[in-house]
Amino acid sequence: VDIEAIKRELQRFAVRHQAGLDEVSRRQAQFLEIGALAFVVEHYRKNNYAVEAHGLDASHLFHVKLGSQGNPANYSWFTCRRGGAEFDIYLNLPVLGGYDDGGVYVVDVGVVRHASLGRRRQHEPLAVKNDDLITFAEVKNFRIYPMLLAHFIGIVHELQPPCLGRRRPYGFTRDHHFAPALFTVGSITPNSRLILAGFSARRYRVNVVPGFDLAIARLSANAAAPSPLRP
Amino acid sequence: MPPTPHSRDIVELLPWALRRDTERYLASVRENARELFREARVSFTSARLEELLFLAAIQKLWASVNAQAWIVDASLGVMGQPHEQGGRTLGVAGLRLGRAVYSRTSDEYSALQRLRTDLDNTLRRLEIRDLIRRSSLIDLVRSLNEAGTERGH
Repeated sequence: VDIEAIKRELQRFAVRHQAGLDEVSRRQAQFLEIGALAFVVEHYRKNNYAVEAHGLDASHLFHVKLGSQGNPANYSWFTCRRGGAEFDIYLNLPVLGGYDDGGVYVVDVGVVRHASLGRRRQHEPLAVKNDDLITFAEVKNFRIYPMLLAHFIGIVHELQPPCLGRRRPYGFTRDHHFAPALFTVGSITPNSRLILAGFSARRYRVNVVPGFDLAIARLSANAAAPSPLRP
Repeated sequence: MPPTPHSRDIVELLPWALRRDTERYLASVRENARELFREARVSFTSARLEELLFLAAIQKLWASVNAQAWIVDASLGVMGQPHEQGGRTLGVAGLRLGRAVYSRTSDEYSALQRLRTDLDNTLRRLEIRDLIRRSSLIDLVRSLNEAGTERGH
């Protein structure tokens, strides 16, 4: 291995692909969110839901909501149906917290009761009511470390407190919903494994998926692979 | 602490967000370096640490490019699956992100796949493809020990 030769080659590579590297750098967080959305959609498809995209443009392109601003109804979303169960999946969805303090949180992927966005009255905040939130997913470009887990549990505490040691809503398991999920690109530290085992012992129902980029590739490549998300 | 000179040369090739992530990653590798060397049963030297950070920076660059290409590809695969509606077959043909379009036939998608393929080929030409793509950090430390004499350390 010749370090100077490697540096020279990679410098040439960076010059050749300056625009491409800029695009990767700029889009990193956006594609993680899109990957999380695809993962959630695939979870329901694997549980025999019919999944339909809405708000596509004339070329059948899915119009991605890129940040916290804007009305989710102006972008694309998915609807899942199976028997009597029907709900919608949005990207970057504003949701009211679970304690009636008026605070709004934007989740990366939100699963909500069907048409709950339309139930908002004029002058109410542009957010789904907490009662209409079924579950959600967050994605981070980090390895799993203790403070990230604590941060995620804080979000679950504000948005889905029943998942922390209490009974979940009737039909949650029957309808194959998944407990709030944290997707990360990196691995998991040994210390974090101990903390996750502690969560489990305290009946904190959360999904933590390390190596999410590889997990979604496995999920899409193998039709028979079950979803790793648990209720 | 700033990155060591070899890894800094790699980091400085990167645009801002990738540079920030790589610097954070290298800081965490540096922080855990002594434990990694102990686990790999390789004696710690500052020269070996510098080489480890250099290889880890390249590994992070590969991981960032590869992960994005995988995610785009897998997401298009998942979302593009057809469903029936009123006798017609519908599916998501691609993703619109502001003005950019990612579909199997778009320029943006092709550019991302070309970037990944060219990086893969570059690593292969440099004969570090397997080392970068398949190795854990502990494997990288072990490789420093195996190649130490050749590199004059």
